[in-house]
Amino acid sequence: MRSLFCPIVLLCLVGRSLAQEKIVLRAVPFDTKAAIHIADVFDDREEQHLGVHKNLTGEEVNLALYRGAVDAVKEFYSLSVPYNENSKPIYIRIRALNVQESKRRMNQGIARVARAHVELAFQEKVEKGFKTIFTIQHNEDQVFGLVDKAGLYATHEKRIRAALEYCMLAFLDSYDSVNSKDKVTTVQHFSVPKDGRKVDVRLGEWRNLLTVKGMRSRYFEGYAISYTGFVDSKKGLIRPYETSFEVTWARSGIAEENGFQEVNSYVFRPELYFIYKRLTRGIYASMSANVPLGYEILEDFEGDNSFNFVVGVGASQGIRFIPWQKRGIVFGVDFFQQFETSEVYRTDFGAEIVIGVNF
Amino acid sequence: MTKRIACIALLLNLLIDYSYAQKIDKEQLYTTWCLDKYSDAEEYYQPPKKEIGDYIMLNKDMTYKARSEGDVGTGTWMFNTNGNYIELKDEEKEAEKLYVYFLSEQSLVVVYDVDEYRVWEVHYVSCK
Repeated sequence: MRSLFCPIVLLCLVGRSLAQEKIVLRAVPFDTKAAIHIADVFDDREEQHLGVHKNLTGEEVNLALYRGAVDAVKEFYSLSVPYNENSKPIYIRIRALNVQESKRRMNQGIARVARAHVELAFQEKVEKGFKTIFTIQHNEDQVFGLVDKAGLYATHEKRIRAALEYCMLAFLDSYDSVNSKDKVTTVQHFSVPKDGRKVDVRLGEWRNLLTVKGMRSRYFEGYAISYTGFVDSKKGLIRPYETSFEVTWARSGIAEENGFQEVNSYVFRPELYFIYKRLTRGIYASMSANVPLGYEILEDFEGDNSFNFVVGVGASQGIRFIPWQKRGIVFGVDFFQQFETSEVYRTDFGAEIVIGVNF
Repeated sequence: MTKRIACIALLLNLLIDYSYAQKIDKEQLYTTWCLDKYSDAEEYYQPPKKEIGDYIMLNKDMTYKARSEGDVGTGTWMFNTNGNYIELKDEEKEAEKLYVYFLSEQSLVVVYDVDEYRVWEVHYVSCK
């Protein structure tokens, strides 16, 4: 029933054009045996909100915690590590607290991903100011179906709570192992791995490419339309999602040599393996192995049509130029090789010119 | 407009509250959970042969022992009340997240936060 009186989101307009939506943290305590309480919280963030997001009506809004992060965090923790006569005062500095949303490739499709990112410093009061005794960065990530934008948006609040709980449990694990008299308590679940792994501060940005390819090979020419989506990353290999449709026809003379007046083929190209590698800002190398899958329409000299199922394996190597990060023109070139069950050829190779837009 | 959005938000809130209505009692997790079956939106599936006999033993001292596809591993675990998940960390400190969908004395239903298994609900029963 509580939720009836406590809607997650309250809307209010601030002076400038961006509306602000407030997130109310639900009061859900978690188990601790802590002998501390949170005496005060300080917000060290430059931008004291959770980030700019598109809400469910498509409007860009500034998300922020109801009554501000300082009070919200303090109140949330007071449920689980309440003040008592013997509890030690601990001070928290919020160095980062935001929510993020992006997409990524998942299995053979695209998924939405959400993140609550938190960085907290836990401090004790000393004679001259404060002494930091523990810091933690934590991401609370969750994956959603591509169509579940509403589910993702409505659960930002839950991930913030989960992240705050995680940070407190990690702090207590470390604090108890130092301060506990009966050295039995903790198992150091939260200790940082020694290989220097870093917490990703931002979810990679999802880029969309819509391109047209003009292609010419030894036997065929034609064009293709493709959609490509990928999460940009400076390091490592990028695994894009791509779907494309090709329409090609036999080059002049080729059909006749094979005993046909005209050969047209229509092919989808699901990929087996597909990577981008960022070479420098705006320039990507691409490589793929794929399965051309479709059919040919063969017209003989009497004007009769016959169909031929086409399947094979293909490979391509190319380069993409995406000079404008947010929106702009994309161009590139690919070289490709393929083996197919075409009536015209078994092996083929060629090149394609790619032009399109990114958004 | 504001009212409409508030209404939608309220409705969503109720839906989510409903779907996460169960408050997990951490004490109930302290046992050995034997892999029973998988399910998706339509039906139940028996685990493949190599997974028969797989289990997760969640100890009160926050260590665990688990058998996965026949290989036994150990590590530490924690339960996040607000996120409704168990986090297992093996000896190399690799973490695995299991969202808890249902918990009773006899039964534990989780979804692994791994792309390949995201569509499956994994049903464990208490080995006792």
